[in-house]
Amino acid sequence: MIEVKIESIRISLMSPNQVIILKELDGERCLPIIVAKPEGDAITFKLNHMEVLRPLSFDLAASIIESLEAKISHVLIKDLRNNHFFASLHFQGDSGEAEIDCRPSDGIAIAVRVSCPIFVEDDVMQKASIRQPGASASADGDAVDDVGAFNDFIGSLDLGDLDEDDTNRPA
Amino acid sequence: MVEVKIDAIRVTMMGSRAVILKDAESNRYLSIWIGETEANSISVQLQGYSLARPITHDLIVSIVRDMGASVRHVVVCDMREETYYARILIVNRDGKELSIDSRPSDAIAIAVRCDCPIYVEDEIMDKHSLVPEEETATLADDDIGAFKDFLGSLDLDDLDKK
Repeated sequence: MIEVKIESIRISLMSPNQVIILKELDGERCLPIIVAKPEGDAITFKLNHMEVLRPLSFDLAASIIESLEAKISHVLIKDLRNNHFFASLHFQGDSGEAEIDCRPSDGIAIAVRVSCPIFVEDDVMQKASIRQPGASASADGDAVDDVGAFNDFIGSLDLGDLDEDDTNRPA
Repeated sequence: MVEVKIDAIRVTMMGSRAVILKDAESNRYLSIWIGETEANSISVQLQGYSLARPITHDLIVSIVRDMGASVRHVVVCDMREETYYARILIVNRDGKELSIDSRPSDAIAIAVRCDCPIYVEDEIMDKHSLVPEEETATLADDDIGAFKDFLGSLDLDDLDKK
């Protein structure tokens, strides 16, 4: 099991869904999980300490957990099948550890409310993780390679034309 | 407390949802605006759809059951500044009653999964419920006079000839 933290929650301009990026604590791998808007919002609200007038479904879940004195030990992203992630909520029951099947979005929304760690199974991380999206390029030789296509494009421009051809100027 | 049944979930043209609760004993209705997600959650359960994955309210009910607790009832208990308030009464494994603050939508979504009663406080029902107007009695001849005139003016013999 690999412990992760919520690196970011990203919205798409093309769909109402959101993407939660879970980043491993001891490494650079990230696991993107697509979640629906209500669950994404519920996670964002809590992380940003935004006050809501009335408890959201997850606030209710958290207050039920607290009232029942359930000790949630962790949330686990345990499987990936048919393009769906499966998660589970783990807690200390009467007879040892119990687990409840849940969607990752629900598990994460509860984890941020009861302040428990989030883990990802090793093989899920291996199958579905990506390198950190949008990581800034390091300032070494690789960086120049990364922008090679852009350099080529710059080189292909005939900047001498700029002054001579007024028609291309923005109005 | 008045026991109510879920009469309907309505969607307005603007996309807002309301759950309509009907007094189990009389012809009074209480309409409460709820969110789309919660409305869907109540609908899928009432219609007996089985979803591929548990949704949030399924998870909440699993937590309650796995902790050896049960939901006794839910009650819409207050209305302040245009907002309804509810409470969920949970009995823990030691038989102790816990009353938990909730939005009515979440409380109802949980009630339909636990098959437990839904109540509304008397005061709320008295103040905010609606009684539908009596259906108009059978139409009198006068009311359909214009329609009768129209029928009389038709030359139905023409029908066969054409």
